[in-house]
Amino acid sequence: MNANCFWCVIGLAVCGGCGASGWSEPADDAAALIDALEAYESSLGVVAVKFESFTTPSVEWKRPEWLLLEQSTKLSGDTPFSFLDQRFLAVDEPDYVTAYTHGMYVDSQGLRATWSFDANRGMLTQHDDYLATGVHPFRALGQSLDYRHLRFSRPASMVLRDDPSPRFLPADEQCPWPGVLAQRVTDGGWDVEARLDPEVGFAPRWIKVTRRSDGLLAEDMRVIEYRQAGDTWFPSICVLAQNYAQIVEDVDHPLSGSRSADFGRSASLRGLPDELQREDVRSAVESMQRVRILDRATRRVQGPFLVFDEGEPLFAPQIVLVREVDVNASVVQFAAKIFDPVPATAEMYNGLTGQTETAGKVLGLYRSLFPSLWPQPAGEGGSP
Amino acid sequence: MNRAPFAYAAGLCVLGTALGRAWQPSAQPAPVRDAAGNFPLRKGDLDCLAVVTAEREDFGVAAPGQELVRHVTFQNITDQEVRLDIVSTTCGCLQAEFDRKAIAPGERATLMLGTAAAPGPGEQAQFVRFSAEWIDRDTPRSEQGICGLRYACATPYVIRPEVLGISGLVGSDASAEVYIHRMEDPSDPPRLSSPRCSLSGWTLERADRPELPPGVAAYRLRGVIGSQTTLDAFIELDDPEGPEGFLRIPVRVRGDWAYRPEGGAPRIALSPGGQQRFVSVTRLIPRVKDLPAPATVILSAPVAGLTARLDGANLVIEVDTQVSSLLGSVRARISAADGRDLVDLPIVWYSPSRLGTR
Repeated sequence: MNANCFWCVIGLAVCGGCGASGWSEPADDAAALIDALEAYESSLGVVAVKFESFTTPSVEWKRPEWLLLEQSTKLSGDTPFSFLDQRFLAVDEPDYVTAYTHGMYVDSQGLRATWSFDANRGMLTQHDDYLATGVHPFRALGQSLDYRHLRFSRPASMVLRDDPSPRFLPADEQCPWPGVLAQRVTDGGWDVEARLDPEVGFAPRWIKVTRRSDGLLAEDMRVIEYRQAGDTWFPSICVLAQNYAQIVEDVDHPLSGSRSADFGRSASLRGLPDELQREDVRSAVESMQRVRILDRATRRVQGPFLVFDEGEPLFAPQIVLVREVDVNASVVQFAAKIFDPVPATAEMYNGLTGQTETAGKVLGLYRSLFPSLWPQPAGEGGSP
Repeated sequence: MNRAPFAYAAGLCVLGTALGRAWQPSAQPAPVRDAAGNFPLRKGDLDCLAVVTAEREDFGVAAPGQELVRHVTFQNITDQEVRLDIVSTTCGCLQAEFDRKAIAPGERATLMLGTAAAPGPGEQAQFVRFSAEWIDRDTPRSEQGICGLRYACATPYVIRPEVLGISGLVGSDASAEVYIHRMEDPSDPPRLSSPRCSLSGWTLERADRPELPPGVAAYRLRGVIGSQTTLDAFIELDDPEGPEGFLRIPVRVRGDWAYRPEGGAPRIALSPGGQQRFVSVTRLIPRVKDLPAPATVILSAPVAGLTARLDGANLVIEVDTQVSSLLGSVRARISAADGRDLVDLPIVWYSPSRLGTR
């Protein structure tokens, strides 16, 4: 990543009003903007990225400040193959239980080989939606908007085209980026608004997913900073929030005292590294931790995930800090050594057969299914 | 998916007692299912709407991924306009929408409920709660209604993967495999037959391997990646033991073009400052070795003031101030000398002023 060239553009001070009000432009403009998004997407080949994610303070859960949740390396892009090496660093926290503290996930065409470095065992199974919906920079690029097919989500530009008449949203005093509003997309029940920044090649700056049935802002994904990576741009700081709707007793005072304290601690940014001690990060966090009345009559309110549930930890928003990125990674080179850490004699559950076998045998089967990635599978040898 | 019974009422369609501005619990007794298992409407349930037609609520046994859509049509039986809105759904996977939000006296509106059946034990039920509001002799009144659908979607098999994803270069051969064994007894082979695929020209056949135990049925899907960027389809097998008589597995096929534009497809800024002509050069990079070279470029539509040509592996776009709009796009299809399509990409031009105030 080229550290000499970075952008520091947004903050809610200038962008608190991004929204789909006031549009009146012809659809041709929207179509051109979606094409511009596709053009940006085409700049990303196979992307290998090292990143960290941070989760919010949650006082009742003995998380007094922001916590480094995960350090991961992820490879994804225009390939059927994807890879994640994930280290959960918050496993000793009272609210965080994970199967693997250090795990590896190798996906191809719907099948997944996993490996736990802690347990020294793994599994051949299918991949799930978590790695699509988890906390990582690809989400901020809109690569997990295809709710009916999260495992093989289409890029954001294709999802936006599901609306035959998308609306153009010009930049204005409230929001510095032009955008597109696509209605009834993903599985039909959602509206997606994508704001694109022409100064970074029309990459997404802000994506909002709203549930049509009740107006819930379900996902709020913002890229605070892009950095140049090769001939294109890639997010270096993202803030991601998922909201939910809840019926509460008092719509005007839906939060407990401890939640208000959580919000205050979140806004303090304590616990975050120096790179994230920024006003635009604080501004995004504060705006994402607001609650909103969806329907006063039915006492339905919207807020960050689990915020209204007493005794539950607060999880939103989460912050992603990208440390390294390669936008032209080689899948074949990546795949060649990927199973090196796996001992051939270790146990591995083969979900294709329902039996526990040796890792060498299971991974031999897995590799044989994808000859373009592993042209000379090592047979029984799990560690070629 | 929420499989729990809905909190207080479920069924065909139930409308709460008309209330004033604030919602309050209905004084009516909870509805009771009829012999068919539905919750029938009763005369007293309704103040503002009558159900004209209602498709069946219970879909019975559904195959995994099967689209379930139900329509219920209401008529406004007041002498005032009634405004309709969706209040909530029990699951984000339930799509619910009225075809109109306001209905005049005597007019009708149809509520559509839709979901895709997901495998799970027992009966699954999803509901939407909606509101109906109107003015009755200067008094705002409102009701809430509930509509739902139910189904069962059990399968005795473990299917890996449950959704197949295939991708490859456009025009290339591609394949993927699926493995099926019984949940309860993995040594007893599933009695599946007649493998087939909804994709034209693709085949699904047994892919038995010596290393697989006899209880595992493996199938290989094979075909050529078409030019569509993404195509949704399914494979299917006869399943005499299954509730539907067949097993269906979704497939998503994605085609990647043989070349990709380095740095991304062209986005040309028509910058202010008196410049008359703007040139963009994009290098086209082959994804694999031994591909034919780009030879021709064709635009999806002529654009005044814009020309596209190839200079070796470079796509050269020239735009002048006569371009037809300050923000626009056109697609370019680049092919080899033998006619094989190599890449299809957008060309975008824009004036920063057209994008709005910055």
